[in-house]
Amino acid sequence: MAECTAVQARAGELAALAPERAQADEPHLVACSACRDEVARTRAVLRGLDRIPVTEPSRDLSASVMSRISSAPPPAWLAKSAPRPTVAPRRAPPTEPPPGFFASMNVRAFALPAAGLALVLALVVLVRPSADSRLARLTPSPSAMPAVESESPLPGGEVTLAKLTGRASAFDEGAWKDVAEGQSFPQGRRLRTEPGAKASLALPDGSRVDVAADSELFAFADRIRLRRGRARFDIRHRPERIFRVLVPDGEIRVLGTLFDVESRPQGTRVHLLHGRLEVQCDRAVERLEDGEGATFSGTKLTKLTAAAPLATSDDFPPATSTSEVPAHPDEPTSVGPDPKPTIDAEPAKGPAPTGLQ
Amino acid sequence: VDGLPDAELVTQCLAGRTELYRSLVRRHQTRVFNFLVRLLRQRELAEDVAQEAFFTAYAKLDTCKDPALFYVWLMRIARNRAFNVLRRGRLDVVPLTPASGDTIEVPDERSIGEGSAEGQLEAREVAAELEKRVMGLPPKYRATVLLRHTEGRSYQEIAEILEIPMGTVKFRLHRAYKLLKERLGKR
Repeated sequence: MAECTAVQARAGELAALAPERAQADEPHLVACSACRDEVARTRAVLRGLDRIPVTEPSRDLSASVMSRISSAPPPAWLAKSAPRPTVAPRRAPPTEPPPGFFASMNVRAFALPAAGLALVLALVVLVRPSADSRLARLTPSPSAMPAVESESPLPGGEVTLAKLTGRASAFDEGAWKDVAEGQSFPQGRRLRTEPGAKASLALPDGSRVDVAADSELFAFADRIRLRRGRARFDIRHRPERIFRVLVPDGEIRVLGTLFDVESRPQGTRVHLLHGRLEVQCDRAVERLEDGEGATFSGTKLTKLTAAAPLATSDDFPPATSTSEVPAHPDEPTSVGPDPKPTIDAEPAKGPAPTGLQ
Repeated sequence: VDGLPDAELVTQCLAGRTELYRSLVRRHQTRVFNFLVRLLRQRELAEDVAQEAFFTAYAKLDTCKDPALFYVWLMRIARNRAFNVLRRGRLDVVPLTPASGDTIEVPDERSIGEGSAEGQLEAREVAAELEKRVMGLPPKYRATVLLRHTEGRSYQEIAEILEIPMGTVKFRLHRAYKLLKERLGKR
């Protein structure tokens, strides 16, 4: 019996061998049918496990990883070991890279560090609005750089459904379940609004996401993955992070702003109401100012200097009073000094720009 | 570039050719995701955590002591990230169920071993059932089994990724096989 226990403890090891070899390795198997059966059952399990198929990600992750790398401050090792692209500020890519821009290996070698440096400079301008805005005169020290975003990739706190008109639901324990105004959710919960409904989400730092009817998203403290539909984002500016809105066609990096996004199968539209945005689709990047917009689909990104409104105030719940928005512990409750723009009462859906039809 | 070994890509990346990191991501993304999606049981979350792991690996690339073992080091980061998520109780955000649209596919014919049609069907059913059972194992056993069987890693590599002694790897596999046999027996 003791021998059986010892042999069965090796069942996984013996099951990895062919039956004859296992018996040669462990003579007890020849005489003991119980142990032989045990090893055979283990072998069946091992074979089944080896046949579990590989699951591919739904998209090439390298695009989003490289996009994030290019938008984050360069890591310390790059500053120490790589040749600093001292010409980068002067060679910063134009708003629309000319054809073949990235095809040049010499330029490509500097593209990522240059983009990272440009973003750092831009953030420094935002953090110090009173400082001289001439980028050439800004030389940020390491301490002035924002903290690396990855240090707090999944910050704590819950997402709260601050306002709800109509019906919304959350995917929980394998099924869609109705949710109620005031309900809180762990980050990453999948939420959707039904046709005719509108909702307002309060993020842990006090940022607000208004969700129009028939939309679906995943809500995190530092990002929203908008699967479909329209949403308006009023994001608190926090120098240590870049808030991101992920859509199937690319991503939008938020530098503290108010904007609308519509994600449809044909592509994504962005309309910036107030603040600054950076939009990336594949390798193309556009920075947007007040009133500007962009459309993107596949690898095509088009900037719109006079973007049509994507939504009206009727598409979202009425403004939430600041007292109802949970504030981040590090930040005062007030929404900030910038007055919110008035959203005019034009029709909700203007004609879709070229490229999205 | 795609033919260069990991060590060369990491070394060149550290020397300033940061665009080569894209090749490392492309090379390892399926392995990392395949491990995470079964560990976390949620596709969107697994993609997010995989991205975080690749980003963290880039930010700390200079701390990869042996560039030839970049994969092991990367998987260790991915494992740490995933276990942080599991510890925070976010495991159940979107379970893998048919209703979620995130179901892991049943293996196709190419992934089934040779044999009769009935044998293939049975093998496929067993693999699908085992996959469900594996995802029901406690996370530390699940991670060990996944690294061994879906990643095909050696005991030594598993020990390095999970940062546990090799004896613990063997013990966990033994326990996991036992649990799986019991659970399969209860079908």
